[in-house]
Amino acid sequence: MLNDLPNLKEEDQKDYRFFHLHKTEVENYDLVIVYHKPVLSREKTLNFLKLEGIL
Amino acid sequence: MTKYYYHQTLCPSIKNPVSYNTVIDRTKSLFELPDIEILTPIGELCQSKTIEELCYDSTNNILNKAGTNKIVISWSGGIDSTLILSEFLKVTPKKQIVVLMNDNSILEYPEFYKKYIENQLEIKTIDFHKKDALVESIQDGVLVTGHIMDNLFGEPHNYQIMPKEKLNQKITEFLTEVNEQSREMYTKLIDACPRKILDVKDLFWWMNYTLSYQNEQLWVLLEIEEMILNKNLFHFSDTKDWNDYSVSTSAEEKYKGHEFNNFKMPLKEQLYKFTKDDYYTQNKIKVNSWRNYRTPQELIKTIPLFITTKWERAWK
Repeated sequence: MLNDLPNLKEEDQKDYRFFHLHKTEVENYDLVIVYHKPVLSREKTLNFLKLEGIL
Repeated sequence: MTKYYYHQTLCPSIKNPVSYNTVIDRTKSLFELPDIEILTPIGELCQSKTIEELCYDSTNNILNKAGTNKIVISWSGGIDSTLILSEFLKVTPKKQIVVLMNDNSILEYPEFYKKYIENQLEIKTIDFHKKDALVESIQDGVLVTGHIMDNLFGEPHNYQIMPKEKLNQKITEFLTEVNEQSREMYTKLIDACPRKILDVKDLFWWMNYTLSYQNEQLWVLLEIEEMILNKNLFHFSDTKDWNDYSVSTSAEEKYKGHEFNNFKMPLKEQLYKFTKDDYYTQNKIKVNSWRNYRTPQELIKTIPLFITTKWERAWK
């Protein structure tokens, strides 16, 4: 998972549960869903979304 | 227990093959989100109303609720907002209409501006880096937008970039090409559709319609605390009848073939009855929404954490 998200600190990574997020396996039209735990701070969530290019 | 219409961290995001932030699954088939309430249910399979009837009903419904307040229409020059403005021009005194626009609106449809707006209607300039104009619009008026139309008619971003072979691909074949987890999730979503999803074009409409609708519906409300849905903010096509039309009409009818100028042709045909503009009807294509002129940094600043079902909002 670290390889997938090089910009995210390890302690932050455990806060997220990923449904299939190995980018090497994501081809064409595979569905990639990212879940966020509600305990996350707004700052961490926004930071994650920004790093992932979602925002 | 507090329930939410939107919650940034309770709701997941989708990254591929479409990019949706804060996904609220209106079918409730894909995600278990017990704290999230759905504002507008998905439509039913039926003999739906025509576009002309839908436009007439939406216009009159909003006029009835607005009373003597101004009708402030956010006009981008695109298909949806131009259709909405034309529908109000049919039945509303010109002095009651205010057009919320900027120079990009004129660039997108200069002929309409010259013929129906310039020196005829009150204009308020909107700067999408500020929210002043949106706040002002509800001081003595109601704001009317064309949001939701994209969700009803398809998935424009992916429609533009997908090859025609993919768009036309049968859904059974599509499912064999994705990984097992994706197939399982797609199948849950597909099975929740009141009508049979036949091809990829239909699937991408269904995804935008079910997973991105509520996020789009709440966009202005997320930024402007004074806004209340269906009180001083109206999305023209956010009604049960429009939803029934969306579900009961195939993606092929809403977007024939794979030439992108055919996207939303039923709306363009309705607009044509007013403008008689052959060129716009045949050639106008969907372009990126004007609010996307904002930088990602500006967008982050304005995104709140949640909206409760009592319309309480929090940004921290």
